[in-house]
Amino acid sequence: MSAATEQPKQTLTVTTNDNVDIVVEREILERSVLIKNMIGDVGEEQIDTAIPLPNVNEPVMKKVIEWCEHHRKDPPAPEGDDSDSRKKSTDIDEWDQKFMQVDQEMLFEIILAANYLDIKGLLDVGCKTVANMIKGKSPDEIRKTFNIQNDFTPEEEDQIRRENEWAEDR
Amino acid sequence: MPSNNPLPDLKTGNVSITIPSRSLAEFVVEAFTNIPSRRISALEGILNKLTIDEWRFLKSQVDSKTLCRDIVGSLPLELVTQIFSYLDVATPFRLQRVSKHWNRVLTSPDFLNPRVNSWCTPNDTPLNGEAALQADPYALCTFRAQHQHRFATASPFGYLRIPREIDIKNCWLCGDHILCTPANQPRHIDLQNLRTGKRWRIRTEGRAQIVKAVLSDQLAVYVTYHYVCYAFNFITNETRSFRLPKAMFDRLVCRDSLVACSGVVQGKFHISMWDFDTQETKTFVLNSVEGHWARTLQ
Repeated sequence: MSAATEQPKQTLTVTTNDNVDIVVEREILERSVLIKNMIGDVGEEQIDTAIPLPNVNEPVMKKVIEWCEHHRKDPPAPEGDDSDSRKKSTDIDEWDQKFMQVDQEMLFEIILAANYLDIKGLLDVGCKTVANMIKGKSPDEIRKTFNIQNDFTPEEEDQIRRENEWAEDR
Repeated sequence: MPSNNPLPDLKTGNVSITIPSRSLAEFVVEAFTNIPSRRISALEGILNKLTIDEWRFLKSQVDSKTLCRDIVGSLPLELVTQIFSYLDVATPFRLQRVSKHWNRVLTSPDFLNPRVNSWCTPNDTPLNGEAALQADPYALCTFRAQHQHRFATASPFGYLRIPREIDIKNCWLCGDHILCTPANQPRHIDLQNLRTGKRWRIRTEGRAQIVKAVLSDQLAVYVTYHYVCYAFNFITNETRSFRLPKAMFDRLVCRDSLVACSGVVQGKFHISMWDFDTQETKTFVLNSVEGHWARTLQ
């Protein structure tokens, strides 16, 4: 078998759902557990074929690749369940904070893509960013932040507020 | 993606023949919509042709576009759960009134239960007042969340007073239980379940004085100067005891249902292990060999 002696291929092509081919280093792309498993499933010989990503478009994939490139040397995410009960820190390192300074549509798309591509580190950063946007805000401030229409009548809203009065004092 | 509309001959402007009933502007919009990829490059081409007035129009359009997104309202529930795992337990309750959609998401059992019940494992003794809420899962969930919130904001429903005269060196915490021993000539130990508030005062037989006391997740153990080791199982409410070989209370430890004590008797290091459930005792003796303790089976 010649395949055993061949060097593993260094770049891969992905096709985003808006039909754009992006060539990426394999090591960077393998931050995605989904893609890593896909490569494992099709085998080394098939690697020349572009990998279709039907759930991600080009601008989002470019952001995802940017993140993966910066975090290429990170240790892999620890195995095990995420049902950790303790309240976790919302601290985000400086580079990631800058990276996440995008509009809400993009942030939303990045979270979905990270979830679909199974990139735990990026998903965590995305969720933490949203958590920080929510943290300490009143319902009205939340509506302003995310441009949400309040579809409760004042009576309904007041009723819910009274039911949850205990949650107000901090 | 093949388009149904053939491209018009733009040079002759002979568009209306190819696509009657449609204006050229509508056609351009549709053609743009049908570009399969890299629409940005088409947009760039259009931008290059804009007049100042058109730019002005575009700028006002861009300024009014917010790119806001109701992220929490749009993400799948598992991801909303992850986002709120970074926030305190009261936040979902406080934000229920943002909108009807948020209300549905933040009150759904699939969202709330994992978050709230992670504080209470199925093995925990129920909180006071929990039994009455068993039929109403949402009320139970809210009740537990309130407990956590009040705990986190330092105004818990119940708290424990520890008398100042306790012996800090003889105070133990294991699981939900705390064991305290008075500092001077102790003749009782106090045991309390921190979760439920249930408490026991365990007095020694014949007012014997306590030397040491320890705690495991099921036993409160103390040794008296009469060389007797008592173990109270607070799960079954049973007390059992065993007699210690002389001077064996230098060290006393316990884990699960096992009690171990050790001491030096006539230059030899004795270790006794006693099991509460089987009431069997095992003993080892360590001899002093060149300054170290070495084990020989007895």
